[in-house]
Amino acid sequence: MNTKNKKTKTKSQKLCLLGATAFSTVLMMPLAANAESLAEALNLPDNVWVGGRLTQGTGVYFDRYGGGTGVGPSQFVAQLQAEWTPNSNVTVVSDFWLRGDWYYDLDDGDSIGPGTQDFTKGPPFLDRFDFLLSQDGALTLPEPFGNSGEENRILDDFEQDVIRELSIAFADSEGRASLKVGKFQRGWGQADGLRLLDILNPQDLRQRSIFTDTEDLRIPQWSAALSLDIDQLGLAAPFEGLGLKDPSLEVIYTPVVRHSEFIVNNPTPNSSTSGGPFGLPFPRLVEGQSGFGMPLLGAKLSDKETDDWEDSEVGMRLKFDVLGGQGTINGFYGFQDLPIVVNTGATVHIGTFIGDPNAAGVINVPIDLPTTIGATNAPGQYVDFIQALAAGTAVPGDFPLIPFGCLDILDPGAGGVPCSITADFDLDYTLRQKTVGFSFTRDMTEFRFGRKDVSPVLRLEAAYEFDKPFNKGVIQNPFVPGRMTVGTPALITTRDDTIARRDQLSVLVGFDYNFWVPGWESQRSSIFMTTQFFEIHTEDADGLLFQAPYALTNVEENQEFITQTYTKGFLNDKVTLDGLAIWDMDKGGVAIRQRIDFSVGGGNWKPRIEVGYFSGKDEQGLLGLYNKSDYVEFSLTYQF
Amino acid sequence: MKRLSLKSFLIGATALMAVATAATPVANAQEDYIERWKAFAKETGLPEHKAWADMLDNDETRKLEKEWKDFRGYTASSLIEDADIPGELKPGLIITKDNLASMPWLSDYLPKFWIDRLNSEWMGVKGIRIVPTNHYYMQKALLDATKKLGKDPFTINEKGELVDRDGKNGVLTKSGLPFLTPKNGDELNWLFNAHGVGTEDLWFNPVLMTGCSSSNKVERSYTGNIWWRKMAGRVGKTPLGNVPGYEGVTEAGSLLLTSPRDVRGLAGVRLRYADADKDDNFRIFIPTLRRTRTLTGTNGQDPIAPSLELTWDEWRSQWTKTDKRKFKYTMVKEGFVLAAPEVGAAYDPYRPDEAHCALTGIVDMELRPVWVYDIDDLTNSYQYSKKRIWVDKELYYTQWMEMYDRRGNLWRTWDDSRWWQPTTGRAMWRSLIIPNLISQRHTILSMSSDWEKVDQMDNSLFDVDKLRDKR
Repeated sequence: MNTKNKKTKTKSQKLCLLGATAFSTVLMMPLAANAESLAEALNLPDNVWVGGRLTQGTGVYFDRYGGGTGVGPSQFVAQLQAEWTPNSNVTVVSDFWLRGDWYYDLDDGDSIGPGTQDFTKGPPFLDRFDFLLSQDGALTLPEPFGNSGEENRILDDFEQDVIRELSIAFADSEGRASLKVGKFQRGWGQADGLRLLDILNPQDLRQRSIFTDTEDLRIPQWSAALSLDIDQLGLAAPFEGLGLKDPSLEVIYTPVVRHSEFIVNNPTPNSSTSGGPFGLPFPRLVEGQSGFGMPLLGAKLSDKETDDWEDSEVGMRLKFDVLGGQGTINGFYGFQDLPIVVNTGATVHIGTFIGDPNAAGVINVPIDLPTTIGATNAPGQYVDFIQALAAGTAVPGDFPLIPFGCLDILDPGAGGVPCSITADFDLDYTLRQKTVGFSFTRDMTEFRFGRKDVSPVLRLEAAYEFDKPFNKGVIQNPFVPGRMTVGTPALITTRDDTIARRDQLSVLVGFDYNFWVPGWESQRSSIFMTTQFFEIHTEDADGLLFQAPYALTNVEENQEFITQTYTKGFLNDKVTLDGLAIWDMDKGGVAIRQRIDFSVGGGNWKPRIEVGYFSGKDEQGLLGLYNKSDYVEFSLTYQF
Repeated sequence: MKRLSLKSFLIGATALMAVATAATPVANAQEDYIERWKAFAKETGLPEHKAWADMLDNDETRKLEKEWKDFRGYTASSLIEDADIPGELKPGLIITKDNLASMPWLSDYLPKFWIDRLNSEWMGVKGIRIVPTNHYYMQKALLDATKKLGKDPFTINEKGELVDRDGKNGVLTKSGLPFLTPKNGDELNWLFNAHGVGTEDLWFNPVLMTGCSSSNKVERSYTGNIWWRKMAGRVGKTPLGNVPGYEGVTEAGSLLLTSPRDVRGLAGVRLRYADADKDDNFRIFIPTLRRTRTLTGTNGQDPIAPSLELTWDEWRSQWTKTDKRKFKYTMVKEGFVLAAPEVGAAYDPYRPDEAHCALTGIVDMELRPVWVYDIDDLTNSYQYSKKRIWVDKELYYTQWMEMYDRRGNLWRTWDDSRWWQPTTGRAMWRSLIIPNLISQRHTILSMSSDWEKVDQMDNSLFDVDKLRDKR
C-alpha cells in the first residue's frame, strides 16, 4: 500500500515535471532565433537578468556489477536564475533548480548491487546477496530485496535542494567592504578535484559524485561573507611591512551547516536506500582477523546532524600579493562533511534471515549498545563464532543466537526459526573540523618553453587539519585484554572507542599550461592543460579507516594522487574535447572522464557526450567505490 | 538683454576669427569638412548622416579641432588636398560591383578584403559609400600635456621601452603623445601605443561579441561589460598622474561576461606593466569553479572566448607588448586608406543585421591619411609572422590592420568604427569586424559606450575578486 502510494506520487511528479519542462521548452524556443536573452524577451529593465537551462540526458552503464550493460544516467535539470542590480552597490541573486534522474524508472529493476553477506553458501560467507537498485524487492531469494531509489528520482526538497542561491550582496562605493548574505557557495584554494582548502561547502555526491562539475558539486549554505579591502581601509601598512601587498580579508559565517550528501546502497529492509550505480556500494561486512564474512547482519543508518544556529562554522581568509604571485592564508573552524560511523545498538529479528522487521510472525528484540557490543565481541559470541568457523573448530550448537530460539546455521535440521540482526549506526556529522592552510599561485615567467615560449602557472596549496576524526578499523577488545578486534566488528563499540583523532597534512603542487603543439602551425587555440600532484600525510595512520563503514580500507600514512586535465576546441570551437584523469597512486584506482561538447544554435543548444570510467579494487579508496559505475551519457542542454 | 549681448559678441568674434583665419588653406579645410558633412547629409537624406553633421556643427568642436590643427600644422583635409588623389574618390561615391572596373586606382586606397565583399556571399555588401573625411583629435588635456613635453622628450631603448631624458621609463614618468612626426617604425609604434583606447577610462555597457560562420550565421555570441583604465600618465580625469596601488602598471583592462548563461559571471582582469621584462598580470574568476585563477600573461594568442577571432593580443587592435627583442617595427609607407569613419556616436557605418553577423547593404567609409608600419615576429613562434597597421595621422590609432599567419598568408584583418566625441576628442568604440580570411568566418563586436557610468569608474573594477560580485 505504501509502495503503491509512493509510485503514484512519483508518476504525478514525473508528469508535472515533464509538463513543466515541455512548456518551458516551447516558451524558450523562440529565444534562440529572435531574442538575445530572456530578459530582453520579457522586456525587463536593464538591471534585471533572467536565465536558466533545461538539460536532459540519456545513457548506458557498462561494466555494471553483475556484468553487462543497462540503462545509464538519465539526469535532468530545470534551472531558473534571476539577478537584480538596483544600483552599483547592491546585487540580488536567485537561482532555483530541480534535478532528477529517470534512471530509476527506466532501469525498472534491471540493475543490481552487492548486499549483505550470503549465509546460504556457507563459510566463509564472502558471497553477497544481490539486491535491486531500481525496484522495491519481492522479498524472495536470491535477490531478496531492493530499493526503487524513489527518493533520488527528483531532488525536490525546496530548502535543501531546490534553492541553489538566494543572496543579496552589498558593496560600498569605494570598494572597501562588501557583505553577502543568503544561501550561496564560495570557493577557496587552488586545487581542482580533491579538496584541501575548498572546504567551506560540503559536496553533493548523489548524482555523479566526483565527476559532477565543481559548481554543481558544492552544496550552498546559508551564510554571511564579509570582505574587507585592507588596503582601501588604510590598514595595509603592517602587511606591506611583511612584503604582503594589496591585502584583503574575507570572513564567512555559516549558522546553518549542511554536510555532504551521498546515498549508501543499503539493502537492509528497515533502512533500505538506493543511489543507483553512483550510490556507495553496501560495504562488505567482514571479521578482519579471519577474513570471513559476517552473515545475517544488516545496518540501519541514521544521520546525526548539527543543530542550526547552535553549531556554526567560521572561516577566514587573508589574501595578498607576494613574491610576484597571489597568496592566501586560510583558517576554518567547522564540521566534518563526511561522517564518523557510531554504533548505537541493534535489533534482533526472530523469524527472518534478512532483517525484515515487518515480515509475518517476526519478533523484533531491540538491544542497547552495551548488549550489542557484548553480543558481538564478548567471548563465545558472534566474532568468536566466526573465528571458530575459520579455524575449523566451530561445531553445531555454537551459533550464539540459538538461545533466542534461532535456527543453527551449522545445523539447520536441528530446528528453530530464522534470525538476523540489524545494527543501528549513526552517521555522525557533529565532529569539528579545524583546518589552517595557505595557497599560492604565480605565473612562472622565468620558465618559458614550448612552441610559443609560454610560461606555466604554478598552484600551491597546503592544509593542516588538527585532530581529524577517523573511525578505527582495529580496537582493543573490551572483554579480553590484549586481544584486538579488527574489521567490521571494530565498529561495534562506543563512540569514544571508535573515534581516533589525527593531524593530517595535505599538499598540492599543480601547474597549468597552454600547450601549442610543435609543428601544428595552424593551431588556432592552445590546449589548456592542468597537472596536479597531491600528497596527504596522516600521522600514526595504522588501523584507521579511510571511510567507515568500509572496514577494510585503511588510511595510508602517505597517500598520493595525480590528476591531469586538458581542454581543446576544434572546428572553430564548435566541438570541444575536455578530459580529466585521476590516479590514486597508493590504492591503484584510476578515474577518467572524457567529454565532447558541441555548440549549436549560437551556443543556446549544448549537446554533450560524456564517458566516465573507473578502475580500482573494490572498496579501496574513493575510486574503488565506483568501480562498477562506468557510463556513457548523451545530454542536451538548452540555455536561455 | 545680457544674453543678447553675449550672443552678439560671440557672433562678432566668430565672424572676426573666420575672416582672420580665412587666409590659410588649413582654415578653409577646417570649415570645409563640417560644411561638407552638412551638404553630404542633405544630399543623402539619411538621418544618421544628418545626426553626425549636427554633432560636428558646434563651437566646442571647432575650437578643439583648431587647437590640434594649429599644433600639428595639418588636418586630414589638408593632407588630402596636398596629395594626388583621384578626382572620382570623393564623398558621395558609391562603389559597387558594377562600377568597380571603372576605378583601377581603387586598390591603392581600399583594402582587397573590402573590394572582395562586393562579389561575395560571405560578409557581402551591396556597396561602399564614401563619406566626407573628418578631422579627428584627442582630448584637450592630452594636447596640453604633449605641448609641455618639449623637444625630443623620449628615446627608445634596446628593449623597445620608451625612455625619458632621465633614463626612466617614460610611460610612467611623463604624459602626452611621443613622436608626433614619427621617423621610423619604433617611433610610430609608441605613438600608436600612446593613443591607448582614446580615453583614460572606458566602459562598454554592454559589448556584444558574435562569432559568425561563412554563411553569416551566428555560431556563438557573448554579452558582457568591458572596462579599461589608463594607470599611468593620466591628465584628463582623476586620479591624475599614476594611479595609486598600481605602481608600474600602464594599463588595466577587465571583462565580465553576462551571457550566455554558462559563462555568466566569468571575469578577467589584465594588468600591463611598463617594464618590457615584466609580463602581464592576468587573473580570471571562473564562475563554474567559484574561484579566481591566475592565467599566464605570456599567452595572449588564444581567442578571448571560444569561436571568436578576437585574441587577447588584438585588444584595442594591437596589444602585443612592445619588445624589440621579439619584434621588429618597420615604417613601410605613408599614404591613404579607406576605412570606416569614427561616427559611432551617431550611427554604425557597417550597418550589420540584427544578429550581428551579416552586413545589410551599404558600408560607409572615409579617406584617411595614414602611416603604415609592420610588426615582424623575430621569435618564429608568434601566431602572426607579421602585422601591418595603418595608423591614422590625426587619431594615432589603427584604421586598418592585416595579420599574416606563419606561412605569410593573410589570416585576419581588423576594421572598426570608434564612438568618438567631436566636442571632447574622447573615443570609445561602436563596432568592430575581424574576418578570418583562411577559414572564411568572422567576429563582429558591437559596443555601447557608456559615457555616463565611465565617469563613475573606480579601481574595484580591476580587482577580479570584487568584480565577481558585479555581475
